[in-house]
Amino acid sequence: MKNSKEIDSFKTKLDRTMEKKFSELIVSFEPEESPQSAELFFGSCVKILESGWRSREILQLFFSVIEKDFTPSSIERVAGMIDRFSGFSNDPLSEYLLWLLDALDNYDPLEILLVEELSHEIHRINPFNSKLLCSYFCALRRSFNTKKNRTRLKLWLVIAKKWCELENDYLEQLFFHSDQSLSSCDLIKEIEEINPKAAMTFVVKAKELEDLALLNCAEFKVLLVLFSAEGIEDLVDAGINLSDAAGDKATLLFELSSKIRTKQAVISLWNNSQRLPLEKPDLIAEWVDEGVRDSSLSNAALNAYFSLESRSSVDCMKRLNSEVTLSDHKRVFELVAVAVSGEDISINQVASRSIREEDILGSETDNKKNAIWLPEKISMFEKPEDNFGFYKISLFHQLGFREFGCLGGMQKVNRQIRLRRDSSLAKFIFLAVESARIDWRLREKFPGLSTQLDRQRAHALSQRSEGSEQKSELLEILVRISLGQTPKEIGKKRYREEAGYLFGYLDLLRPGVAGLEVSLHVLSLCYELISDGKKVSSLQDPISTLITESDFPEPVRYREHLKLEALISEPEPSLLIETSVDDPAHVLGDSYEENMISDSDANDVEVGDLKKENLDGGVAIYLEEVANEPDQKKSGIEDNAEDDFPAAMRKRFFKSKYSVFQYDEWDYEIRDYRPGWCSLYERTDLDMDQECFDRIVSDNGPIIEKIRRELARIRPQTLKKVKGMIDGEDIDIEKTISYVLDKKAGVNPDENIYEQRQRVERDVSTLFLIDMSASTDDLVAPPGDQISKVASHFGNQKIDRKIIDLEKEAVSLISYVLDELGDEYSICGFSGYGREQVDYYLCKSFDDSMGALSKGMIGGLVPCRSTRMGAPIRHATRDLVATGSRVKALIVLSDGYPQDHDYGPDRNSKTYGLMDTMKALAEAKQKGVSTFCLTVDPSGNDYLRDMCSESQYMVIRDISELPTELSRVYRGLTG
Amino acid sequence: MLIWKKEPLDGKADSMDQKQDNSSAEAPYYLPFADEIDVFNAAYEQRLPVLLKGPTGCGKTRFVEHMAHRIFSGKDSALGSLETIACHEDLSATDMVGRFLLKGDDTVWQDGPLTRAVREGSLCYLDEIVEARKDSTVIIHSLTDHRRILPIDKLGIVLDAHPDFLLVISYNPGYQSLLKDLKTSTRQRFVAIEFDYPSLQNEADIICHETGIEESVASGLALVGEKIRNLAGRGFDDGVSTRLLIYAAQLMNSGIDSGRACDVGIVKAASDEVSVQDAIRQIVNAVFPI
Repeated sequence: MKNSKEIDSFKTKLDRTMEKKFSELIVSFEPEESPQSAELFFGSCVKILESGWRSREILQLFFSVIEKDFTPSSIERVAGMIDRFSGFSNDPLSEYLLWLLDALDNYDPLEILLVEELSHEIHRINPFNSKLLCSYFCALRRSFNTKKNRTRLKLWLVIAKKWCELENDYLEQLFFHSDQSLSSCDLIKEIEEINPKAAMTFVVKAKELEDLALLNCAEFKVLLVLFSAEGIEDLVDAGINLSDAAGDKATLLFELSSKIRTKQAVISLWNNSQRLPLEKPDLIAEWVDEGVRDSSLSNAALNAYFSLESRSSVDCMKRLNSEVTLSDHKRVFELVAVAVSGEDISINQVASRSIREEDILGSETDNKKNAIWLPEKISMFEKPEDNFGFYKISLFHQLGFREFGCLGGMQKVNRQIRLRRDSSLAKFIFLAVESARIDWRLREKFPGLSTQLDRQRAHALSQRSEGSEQKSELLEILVRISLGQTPKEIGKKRYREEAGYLFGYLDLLRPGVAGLEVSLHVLSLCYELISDGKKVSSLQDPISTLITESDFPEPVRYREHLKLEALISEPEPSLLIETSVDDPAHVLGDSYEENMISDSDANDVEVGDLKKENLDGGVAIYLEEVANEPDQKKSGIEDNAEDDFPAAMRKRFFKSKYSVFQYDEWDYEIRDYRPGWCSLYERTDLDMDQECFDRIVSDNGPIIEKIRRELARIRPQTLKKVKGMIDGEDIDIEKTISYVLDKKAGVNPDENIYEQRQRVERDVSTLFLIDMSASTDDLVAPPGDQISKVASHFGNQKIDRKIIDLEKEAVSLISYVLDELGDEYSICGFSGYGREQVDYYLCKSFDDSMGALSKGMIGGLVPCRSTRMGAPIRHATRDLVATGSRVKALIVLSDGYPQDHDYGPDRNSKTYGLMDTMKALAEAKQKGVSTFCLTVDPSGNDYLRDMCSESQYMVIRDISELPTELSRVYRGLTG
Repeated sequence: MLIWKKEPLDGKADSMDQKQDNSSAEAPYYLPFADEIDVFNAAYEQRLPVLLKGPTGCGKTRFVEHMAHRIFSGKDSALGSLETIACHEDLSATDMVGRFLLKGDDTVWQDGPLTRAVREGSLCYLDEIVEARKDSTVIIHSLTDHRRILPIDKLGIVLDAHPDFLLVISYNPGYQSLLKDLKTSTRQRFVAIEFDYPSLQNEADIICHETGIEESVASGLALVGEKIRNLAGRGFDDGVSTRLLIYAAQLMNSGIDSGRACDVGIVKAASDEVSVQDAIRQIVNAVFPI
């Protein structure tokens, strides 16, 4: 035992309270029984006090611990810890003592020993990481304070001990997420044994997983273990997203995912869950089974299957889901629309409107009045014919607006709607009323639609929910009546009377001759009833506030795609003013309406909230609204066009013309097509260079002559029988008889008695497809030399020409001669960036003549971006096939191998692009199109040899020979 | 294809002759759409050649038959009738005018249908005239002006047309190519009457009359025809003809289901393009319940 001097000296360093406590404790150790304990106690106190700031606070903790347990063994152990921890930082000691204070009450001695042992180990391996020790004891205090939790303490300590050997991150995360790591100890251990890093990832994400109840999902946990060897961060993230998006239905996918052998495919499946009909679990299960059935599928193919990106996957899903897609039937629907309406109508996909701003502002807007909108796919019915029926009814319903007089009267409809105080309510009512009339008229004119119409209406009714708010409920009743329900079937006691009225109003639409006038009259009646509660006693307190559109009942699905705004022409302010002021009765109704409402007082009829007598003074509010509208539009676009870049862009897009086409792409890795993978924009919005073509023609007289000579060798193709020839393959019987007769009659006979089969007609269509990739901006080398990327100095003026210039020159010259020959041809350029943006510039179509526009566009071809060849070749093939010519030729002028930033999973790999191009060329051949690839890439032999047969490509060494070579190729293909 | 008679030994026309005897009591049914009957009568009175323009199957031939009956049924001439020549690309002037045939050791002259019509004084109807060879169309020139003569080189004679003779030609401007357009010198010798498909109601009436099918079905077929014609130029050149609608009605009359009858009578006959066929089928199914 230290001498009393030392003790006294120590005491002087303590405040009174602590001194008192110290004195009590030091005397409690009987020197005879445990001299060593007193020694250890005093030594520890001294160490703690000397350890720096917060030492008194820690000393206080130490006293508290000793008060609880002053057995020699305990003091020895604690003193050891103090000795170890007090050397470099007080925090671990403080945290240790805090924990111990708590642990002495709750932990078993053995558990305390285990914890302390691990702390030794952590300290040993990370002697200078005090934070780690603090986290350790914090985690213990936070998470293992109950006996229940401590049942997993040993396992947790085992994991922690193992992770001591790893990077600090592991332990830090384990301690930081102690609550979650505690509850998932078993799973962490299981994963950790396979891949500790995956286990750490799990620990980090465990909180999110816990919040989404994913840790209760056994199927999900199985997958974590299953794929832990590959790392599970992306899997966990995908699982979290899936659970967020799909809720309870995610369990189904978790369960099915265990059948899938690769993690990437599982993630693809989860990421695409929104495209799957999760409400049909059996179907999904069958689809997954189908995907995993072929065990020889490559990982890439499996991934594409579960991403719904391969043809086989999409087809399987369609088959199982009885799905009908718009793309499969668009052409038919377009033809039906044209046939029924007699107008040039385009069918558009509803979803595509939101994809790109350009779509809204560009070409689609240009023709919106003649557009019909349909959804991308329908699978709501079990049978495909009913899903198809949905499209058909939706199509005919929209066409009905044209067929039965609504479109022609939209000006009047617009006027009627705008005159109502609540125009959005009036619009809703009008649509419901007019839809009912259209359905009835359709039923009468096209009786074959009746069955499907009934089915769609019944389905629409079965899907409807009740309206809650007063007006909404009345509107819901109106919609239900428009779908064919009777008030009795609707069964609303509260609005029975109103339902009766509405039913009566809509019944006016039933007669087969009911026109738009009747609809407008019914609109007045319904609006009056719903908006103001007139005529009906039960609506004692009509709602004065305007009902917002968000409160309107949900639309009927087969009717919802009609764009009424698109049909309404711009309002004519002057017409409205004139009509409003001079003849209000005319605005409210016409002769028909006057007859129909003869029993009502005209003064009671309202224009919004104004009565007829008030109209004599003018309807200021409406006139103002109408007058302002065109001005606002004007200022919105034109005034700001100069300095507002987006506005200017919008204007430009508005003018631009293009059509969008979707093309499949061949993926050699999955050995399947990726359906609708590429979006090809057929554009005509090139900057013009009018002089280029004429300059090329005037500068290249000798080459033109050469090409002319070359093409002159082409002989007509089609054989035609020509009679009356001096010689030929067959004898012309008639001529022969005449010959004999003449001879017998002594007349000089005509000796032209033979028939010949002559080639007198050419039936050829050729499409020149020009590569406009960025590399065509490179300068061309002098004849016989390689292409140089550096400007050359050969003194020749043409030396600094670019590859694109040569391409343009070649097609310009040959087209000049082809015009003389009379062959059909088209000239197009292609470039783009990525699969969503393949640009296809139509400089000259088969139907165009080589006029100023085509010449200007050829001149305007400039280097752009990438070389994605597959889609342009498919598009060119489509155009060629459409010509119906006997000989169809596609000549591709390129300067390198096909490439794009997403042309295949590996940007640096050329194989994907080559394979797709090869497939596109093979497809062209299958469709009777002869193809030829001309390239100026010196290494072209390397890949063109794989892409096509030797007779179908040419690598041009001397690029200046391109025009003449092109003409030779042309002759070879078509001659 | 030209169908013309071989002269029988007794000099009378056999049953395959295209020459129609119009002495039967009832005129072929024709529902006028405007004043074409009056115009034709007036033209005939003045012996002005007539050109009928219109799409396939809209009733041009029936109109000529009807007019031939109207014109000749009131006359005593037993020979008054209609010679129809379906023109094609191998039709030569000889085919129309006539030729010498070898008969044993003799050569016998055989009148062609045009010569026969000129001699006997009937209507000569050259159907789809632009399909014929250019040289064959030139020979009608002298028949279509004030001369009204037909020179026959091989006989060395010039035949004056019978006072009752009239030349009627038809062509379909819709699908003729530039190469096959009617020469101006030929076109400007005719009074032109333009035909189109009948109105919805008229077409329904025609179908009803021709087939005896019930009115609602006939109206449905007429509606189908009207709608399909909007597709002209989108997969097939002409709209579906009234003739095809009548065929479909006749099939229905014979007990074929309406959908099937329209399928074989209209859908498949109208176009070979699958999507066009599908579209037409959808329209047919919309009109006729399956």
